[in-house]
Amino acid sequence: MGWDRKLKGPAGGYFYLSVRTPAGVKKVYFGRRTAGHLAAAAVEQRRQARLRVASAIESEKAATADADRLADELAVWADLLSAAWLTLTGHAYHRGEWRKPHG
Amino acid sequence: MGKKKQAPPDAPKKKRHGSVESAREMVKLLTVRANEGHPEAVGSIEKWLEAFPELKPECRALDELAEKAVAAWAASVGFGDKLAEQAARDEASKLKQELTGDSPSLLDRVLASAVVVAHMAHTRAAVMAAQKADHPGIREARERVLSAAQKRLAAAVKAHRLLAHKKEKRMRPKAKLKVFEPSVA
Repeated sequence: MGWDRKLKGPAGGYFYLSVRTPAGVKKVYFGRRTAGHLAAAAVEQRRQARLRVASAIESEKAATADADRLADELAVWADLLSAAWLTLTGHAYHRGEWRKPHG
Repeated sequence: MGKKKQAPPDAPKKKRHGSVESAREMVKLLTVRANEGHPEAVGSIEKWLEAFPELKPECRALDELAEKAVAAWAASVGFGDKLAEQAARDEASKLKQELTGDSPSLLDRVLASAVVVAHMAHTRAAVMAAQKADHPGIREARERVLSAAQKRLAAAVKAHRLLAHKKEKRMRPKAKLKVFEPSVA
């Protein structure tokens, strides 16, 4: 996808777009004139929109990164200590559950 | 030729070596081994929890870690509003008190804090998911965060309830370990 420069073609190249079809990926030719430039602008617009969304998601994630790290650390300790407590009281972890074996 | 007397590999070393992470991993490994039917691993867990030098300061710092986590999530839930942040802190403290009771052990406090923190994370995720999103991708990402927060809250509540249920049945480890005894700060 993008401007494809041919060896004997114009310096700017020809614009092609990869389109997914049921038969597979098809390379659609838009040429080097208005159609090519319009298709390239639309692709660039979509790319910019994707970047804006990714950046918005990233900044929302970053807002709680420290809090998440602390919560994860606390959860690790809670798991570890409760597993130790259960093991020391004779329990065994089996198929996702802590059980006390009979006998 | 005289053989050097060696300590068993799963006994905690007297000297400080290794990190908190490695000590933590060792206790985790021993728990797995005990589950696989190695009875000697149970004794080793007791030794590591009681004697390992790297774990001791960390155990004392666990209350501090819980406080930091609650403070961080209170700020996140407050969304910059100091009054909302204080309200979240008050609610967290009330919830923790309800979950721990009068003379909690370090384990009780850690489990209760994990529930409180997971509850706050869930609250924030729910608020974010309810907000209008400019793009479907943002809405989907918020829903994924909410789903993960729900799972974390469910797991924390399950762990807390499991131990509370076992304690109601008067179960306790044979050895008296500080981390499992009431009122260890």
